[in-house]
Amino acid sequence: MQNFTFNKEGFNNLFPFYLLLDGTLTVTSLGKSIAKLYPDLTEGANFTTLFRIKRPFLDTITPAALLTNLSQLAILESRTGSDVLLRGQFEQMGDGFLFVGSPWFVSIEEIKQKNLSIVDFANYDPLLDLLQLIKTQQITTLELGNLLKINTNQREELRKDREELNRIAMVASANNNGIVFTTPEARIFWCNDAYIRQTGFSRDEIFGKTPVQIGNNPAIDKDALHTMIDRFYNGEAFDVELTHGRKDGSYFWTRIQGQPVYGEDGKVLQYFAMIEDMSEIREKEEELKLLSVITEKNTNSIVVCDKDGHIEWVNKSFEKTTGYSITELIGKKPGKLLQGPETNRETAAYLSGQIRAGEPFKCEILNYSKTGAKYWAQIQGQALYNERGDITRYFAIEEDITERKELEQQKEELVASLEKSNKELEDYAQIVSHDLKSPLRSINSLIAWIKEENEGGLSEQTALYFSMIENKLEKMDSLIQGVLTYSRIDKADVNKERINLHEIVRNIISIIHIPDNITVQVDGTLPTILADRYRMHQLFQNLIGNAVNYIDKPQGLVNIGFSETPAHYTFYVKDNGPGIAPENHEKIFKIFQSLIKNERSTGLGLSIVKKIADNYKGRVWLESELKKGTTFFIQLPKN
Amino acid sequence: MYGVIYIAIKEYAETAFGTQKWQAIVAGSGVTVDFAFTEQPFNDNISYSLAKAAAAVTGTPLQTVLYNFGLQVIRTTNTRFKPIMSSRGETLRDYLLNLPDFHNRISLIYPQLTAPEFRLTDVTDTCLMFHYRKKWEGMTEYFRGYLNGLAEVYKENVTITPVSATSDPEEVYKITWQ
Repeated sequence: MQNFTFNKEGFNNLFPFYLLLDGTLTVTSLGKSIAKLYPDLTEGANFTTLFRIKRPFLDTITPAALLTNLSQLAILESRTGSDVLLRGQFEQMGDGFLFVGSPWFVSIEEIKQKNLSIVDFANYDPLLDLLQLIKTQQITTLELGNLLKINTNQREELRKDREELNRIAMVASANNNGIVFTTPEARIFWCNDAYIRQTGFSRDEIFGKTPVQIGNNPAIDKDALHTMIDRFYNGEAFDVELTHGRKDGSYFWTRIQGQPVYGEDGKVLQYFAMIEDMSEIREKEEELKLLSVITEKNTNSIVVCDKDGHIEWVNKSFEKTTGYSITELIGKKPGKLLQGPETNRETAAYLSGQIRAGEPFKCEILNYSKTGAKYWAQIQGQALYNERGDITRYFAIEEDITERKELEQQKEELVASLEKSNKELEDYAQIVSHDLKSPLRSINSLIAWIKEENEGGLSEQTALYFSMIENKLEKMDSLIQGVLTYSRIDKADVNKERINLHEIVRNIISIIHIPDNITVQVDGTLPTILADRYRMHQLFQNLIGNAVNYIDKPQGLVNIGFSETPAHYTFYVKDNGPGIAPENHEKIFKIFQSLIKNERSTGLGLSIVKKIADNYKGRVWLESELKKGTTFFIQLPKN
Repeated sequence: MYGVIYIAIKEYAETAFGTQKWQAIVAGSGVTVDFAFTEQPFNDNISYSLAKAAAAVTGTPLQTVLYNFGLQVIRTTNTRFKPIMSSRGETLRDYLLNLPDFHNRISLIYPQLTAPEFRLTDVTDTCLMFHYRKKWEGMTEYFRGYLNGLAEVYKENVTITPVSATSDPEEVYKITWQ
């Protein structure tokens, strides 16, 4: 093994950052470049004062510790301020140690910052070249990093685009509106299921055709169609309403919105069109139009108010009835505008109460027009609710019932007047009857006295005259009694109690005089009905009495019976008398219309029968055959 | 290349516990490193946080997780950086002898890395004492796994026995060749 000998300068050329330490670790010599890094480092300085050994870790730097770590890479760190690390190794030199190494930099920029340059390093030292290499690598890495970032961003954009496309495709497929995509030449190359449902064509039938070929139909609006076609070929968006044909030859109303899709070069790549089925909307529009016309032309007044009761709209009739124009009415409250001093306060309160409560309302109210003229209105209306159940509006229909009200008024007055007249007539009849009966009774008494005083002294002729006077008096009395009875039969007189008609009729038969040649019989059992006992007695007595009185046959027969329906009883009184000529069937029910000059007939009996039946909302009629007999029918309602 | 430690931990956790659990472990540990890159500095604290999260998520004892982390680090490094591993020595003994010096160099290359600091004492033909200067407590099992991983890579039959007390500033392992 040959020893090497260097002079200081030669060694410096090889190891410009060396340190030579003696056995006490004092610096005895140092390289030419190392002093530039550590200004305190001079010959004679103590190594342990200036440096610590970062790697391998040594608690204290002693010659012994250095000896155990000679084989390792040593990293020195300044204790006096410089942040430059020295990287190298210790070698034993006699009693002391030689450190050879070089500063550790991680970037080429640090060389300049530490006032070093290429001449401060040994030529063989690869540090500067490695730093250069790192710098190149760093730039490359930076560029790659930037490229990677661009790549990542692009990938992210692509991912987002793809997601967006998927979303759009899903929306387009699931859309209820028909959607088609066409080439710039208008050839359809995609459509969704909705378009197939709308048109009835299959995809195979649709693809490759133009929308006009698929949708043309006889009802199509040619102007709108040409607008669409022109805009399409000009690369413009369009929005038209057209009828669209179906495969089965029918068509439906559509709104078609088209939009060109442009490429980056500004040329139309494809066309997108949405076909909205407007059939239902059109039908509703038609319906609305019809309703609108009905409302506008309605002869009744119609008013629509907002939720607070302010007028929003009225029809022409409302304007005409009230005399206000729509512009004067809008925003006003109908009640405040139309009600006046004679308007019933209770009705007005009812109206506002119902409206406040959102309840329907119906009433008759006196309103005032713009000129102050009064008119009666029948108002009917209600609140309108939205889907959430909130009141949105009120509407009311008002019918002008002024004429009807006037007629009602007249009728009431007439009825009152008639009632008054009837009462007066009745009073009159009673007074007259009473006053007439009184002299009759006197005459009767006087005749009785004359006959009594002249008993046996009167000639046969005189006795006959007196008898005739008595008969006339009796008839006069019957007549007055009949007038009184007739005048007393009144609607208010219809007392209703359960009465046994069979008993009543049997009683009549037992009371009235029935000649021996006449048989009166009741067919079956007459019912128990709701009626006034006295009036029913009068009714049947008059009919049965008439039948018995007028029978002209040697063997007279009178039958009384009845039939019934769920609503009525129909009684009959049948005789085999002379019969009544058809021309007299109506006449006989009129007052004082006796067909036969009978001493006992007053001409009031059948009038009384008819009046009683009328008061029970019943009716009387007859069937008769001359010389064979007559049947009187009396129909009475069960209720 | 020190990011390889994270890759190794990920490989171990995904193999042993599954991808879902691994995601839960990362979320639980709160670490934010990118497990795809090998070229990033390594920090023992991150390994320890991941090991604690793995123990919590999977119920595996923490010491077992740390041991397996250490073992897998060597296995993954050997797979991905075989030339570097090979350059450090022909035998386990050579590898260990070079290890302190290698980490001294590493500390310069990765200034942000708190490179582990090792030293060897009592080196004989059949035995040596392997010292690790503690930066984080509780890494005993990790380095036991690490040393066993090395023995496995070099296919050498050794006994590795931790011999230091918890209070010692160093973890010391006695490595004996049989």
